[in-house]
Amino acid sequence: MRRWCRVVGIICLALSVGTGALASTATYLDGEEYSDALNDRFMEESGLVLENNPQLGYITYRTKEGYTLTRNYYKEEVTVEKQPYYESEDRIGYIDELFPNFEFDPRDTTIEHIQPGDYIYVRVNKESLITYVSAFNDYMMRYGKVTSFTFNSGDTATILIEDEKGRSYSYRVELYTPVTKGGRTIALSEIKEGDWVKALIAQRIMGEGIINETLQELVVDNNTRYISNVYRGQVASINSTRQLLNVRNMQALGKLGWGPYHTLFSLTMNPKKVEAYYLGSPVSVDYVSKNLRNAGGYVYVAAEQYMGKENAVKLNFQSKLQTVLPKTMVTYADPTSVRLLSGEKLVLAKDSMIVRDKRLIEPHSIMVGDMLQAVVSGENRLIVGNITTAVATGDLQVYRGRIKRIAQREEFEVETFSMLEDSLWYFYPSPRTFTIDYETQFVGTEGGNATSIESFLDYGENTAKDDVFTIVAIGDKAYRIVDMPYVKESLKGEVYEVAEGSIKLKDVYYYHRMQKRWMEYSSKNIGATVTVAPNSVIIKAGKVMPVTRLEKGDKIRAMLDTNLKTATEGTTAYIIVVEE
Amino acid sequence: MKKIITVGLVLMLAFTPVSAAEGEMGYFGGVSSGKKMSTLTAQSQVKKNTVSKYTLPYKEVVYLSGKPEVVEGTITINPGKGVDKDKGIGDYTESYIVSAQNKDKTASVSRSVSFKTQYVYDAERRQTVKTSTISKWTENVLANGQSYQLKAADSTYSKSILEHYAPGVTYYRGDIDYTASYTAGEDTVTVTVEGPIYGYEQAFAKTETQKRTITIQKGEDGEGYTVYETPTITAYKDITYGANEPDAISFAGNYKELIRSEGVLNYELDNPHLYEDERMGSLSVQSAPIIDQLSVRDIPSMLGHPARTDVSKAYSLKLFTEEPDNFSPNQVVTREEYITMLVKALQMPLPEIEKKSSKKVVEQSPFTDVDLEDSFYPYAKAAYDAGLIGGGRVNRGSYLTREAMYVLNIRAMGLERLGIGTAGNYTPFVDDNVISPWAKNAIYAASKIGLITVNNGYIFPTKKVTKAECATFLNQFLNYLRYDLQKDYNEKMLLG
Repeated sequence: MRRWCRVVGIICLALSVGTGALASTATYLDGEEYSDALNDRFMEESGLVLENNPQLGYITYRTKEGYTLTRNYYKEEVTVEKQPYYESEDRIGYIDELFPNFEFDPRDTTIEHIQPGDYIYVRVNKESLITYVSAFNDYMMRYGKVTSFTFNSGDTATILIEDEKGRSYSYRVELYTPVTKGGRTIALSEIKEGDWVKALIAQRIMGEGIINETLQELVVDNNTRYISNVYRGQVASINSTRQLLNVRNMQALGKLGWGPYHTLFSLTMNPKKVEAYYLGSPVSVDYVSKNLRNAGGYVYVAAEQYMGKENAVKLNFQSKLQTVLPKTMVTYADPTSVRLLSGEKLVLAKDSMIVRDKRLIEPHSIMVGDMLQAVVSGENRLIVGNITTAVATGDLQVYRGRIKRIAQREEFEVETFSMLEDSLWYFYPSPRTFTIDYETQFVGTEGGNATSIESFLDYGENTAKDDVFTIVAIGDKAYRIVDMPYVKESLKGEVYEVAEGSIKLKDVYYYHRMQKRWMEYSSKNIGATVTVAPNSVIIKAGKVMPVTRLEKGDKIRAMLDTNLKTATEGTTAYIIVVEE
Repeated sequence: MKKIITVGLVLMLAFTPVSAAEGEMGYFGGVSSGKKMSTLTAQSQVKKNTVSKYTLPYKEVVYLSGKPEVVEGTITINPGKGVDKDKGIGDYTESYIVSAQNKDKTASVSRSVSFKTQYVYDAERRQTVKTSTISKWTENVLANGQSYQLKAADSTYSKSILEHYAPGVTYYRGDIDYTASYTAGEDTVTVTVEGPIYGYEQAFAKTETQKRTITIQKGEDGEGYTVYETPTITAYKDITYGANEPDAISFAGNYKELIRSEGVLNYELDNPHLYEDERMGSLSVQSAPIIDQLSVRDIPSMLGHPARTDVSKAYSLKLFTEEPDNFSPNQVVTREEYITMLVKALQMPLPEIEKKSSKKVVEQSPFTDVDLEDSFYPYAKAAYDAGLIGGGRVNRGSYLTREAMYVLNIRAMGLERLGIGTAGNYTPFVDDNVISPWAKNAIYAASKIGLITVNNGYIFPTKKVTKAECATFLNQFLNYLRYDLQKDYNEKMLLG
């Protein structure tokens, strides 16, 4: 009996709680209100918002019929919906208005978010108060190249975009404006001049010819469109049917100046997308085809890698008199000239091809402190300017340590460790912990993945405890854990040939550990051939790269297994850092 | 005489695309050079060459080894008999055969796929829904020397496409979703692909783009990676002028259309085991252009006139047909003339004229001011059938204003929706208050896609369009169809 009473009591309690909850959420309507709801006694209007004042509770809008109306609302009582630009549809639909519930609707917002220029649909009750607002913006897309990007004094930046028809648009970029690249959110500082972007624009037309455009979202090209090369040579022919530019005696600009000759080289060229200059003046492709074929002097060609092929995007015809200046720092820059640390003053013009971060930039974008490799005409005009950034290891650090403990998938600890700085290992007699995650690579002696994060353990048959590894890390995050010997010998030199598994160097110096100084390897500069091990770590421009990314002219520092001077059977490089 | 002219024009211009030619790169992520449109010369032939099966150069990226490997070869496509709009419903079989390998023969693809496609054509909405199921699928892949064989029993494929026939452009959007299960020795690899297909086809260009998200799962212990892939093909008619070098030649030069096509594929492989710069890439499939010379009319009265080039182009495309001696650049264009030009330019199918002697019910003209015997009738009827104009009174003799021209252009492209929401509100032009309410939508849409060149903020919507202006605006419109519309489908989608 007592048990039965307890059950009844629990049921009663549950019912009382349930009905209590219902009573607290239900809104009771009086007879008149019920009748109004039943018979849809409201007025519908739509129009363009001219002013919205939530503090004073009114909104002014212009209807389709051309009437300007001001209506009041109670800020706390008005229901507001506005479709965010990223929502492809109203997934919840009308149901959450017909039957209010607690389901999340991304359209739900507050009256403060209704802005002048929004298109609105409103419902007005019989007291002429607005009870419901549904707003939408008219979005459009602009596609073009960033010609200028500057940070303002506040928390905003200004972006200038030029579309393919030469029309320029300027927009303010707020810190909260979504900016993505390859589907990933990036910081504003990662936007580069010369980047191609898609800008989502909310266009609000407030009156005849009065347009207000605001940037809603920016999508930056994910490095699919970049300046791949600068060539020089002579125009052999232009095949207008196949849209090809054929260049005779072509040479590509490299770190060491102009590279080897190619007797004939073709790249695609769309006459609608190329700009051409002859001695500083713009000319048409027809003019080039008719008058500048096999002309004396050089044509300089900026080539862009885009849509799976290399396309000529800028041609600059100059006389043969030209000089390649070695990389030098810019000490003064204005939009028409720069002065270099070596003393030269160079004139900039519209025909100058200036490349930074593999993008063509405008002359005004050269800054004091830039390292500029310049091709200069006889009149000291800048024909080609290649701005390089000296990033060797960047944020990457190289360590070596003996595993003391592994917390699976999380971190590992080394008993003591050494850190590579320049060409010396500095020993730290203290433990250090590195975190690991899905990005961490485990490289064995044969290269490739020796193990995985799942089998990187400090127990069992394949325990890594007490093993010694070279660790490439940023801060405490280990990106690469490599099984390689402890390499203490080192050299410096300049790459002049890259082959499968080996590199050839000139201007070679080796480090004399006893004398603690760099020694010249050969007074005749016979150079050195160094084997690159499959498990080598090659760091260039702050990233770990495959050996194929080494190129002629790279100035490197390498850690070797044997001393270069005393090695009888060659030497192997295990850590290579490209310094410039 | 009128009949003879009419029948002649029908023979010359009859062009009946059954449906959009989607699928020219297959539906498995590779890319072909695309099939070029017919030349105007080929279209004018009485006896048409109907090709049911064709082979195109083809490239595909194989991701199964975890590293992108590009294979190159051919794709042979049998598109099937397509949609029969008269029947309204039906089905057909389409098939795709791919054979491709890389240079060192460590990667290859051999694939044969057939789809059974059912369709429903809705004449009122001018739309066709096509839904395909796979009827045959065999596939062998070699990736990094390892052989992968498709397990057809464990693989599924679904594809459905919606086509919309605007008066001058056929647009389509589809979705694909499939799972391909492969055996590699003892292991099983499962590839799941999902994504939309977008495309359009019109007289001057066609583009198809797929956005594919691929997940590759190896075994059952959660190993795998994701690939984002965007293959796109574009074919378009470029127009260029060739000036003659000899003096002693009867014409100074002429226009020619160059029909170009290419395929491009961008990919990004989200595999952390690869070096950063190995994770993404781009490739293209090129093909040689086809040249089609356009005939020429000499218009001596236009020498030095700023619209000379535009007028010459309009004559070359046979959009202007009057005798050059009678041509006046300042003559105002009528609605009849402009509708005729659009029908010809956009190759709207001309109707078959029912003979009065036949036993069929005699055709009734849907117009009150154009009867069946009228030389304008085939064009008016073609425009009516395509949805460019309505029935009733055509107002053939009324002068064409700029705003009326933009309305027809936007309607021809089926882009009225870009102006929806602006009715009663403003367009971006200073003389907005002069624009007729019925034209605001179209003018807003035209400004949004960059089809209107603004003169100091004004567009003079009620200004009557002269022949010289008509040639210029028409060329601007056709250039949009040739060069600019495609950017929405290729360049802008490849970016991100």
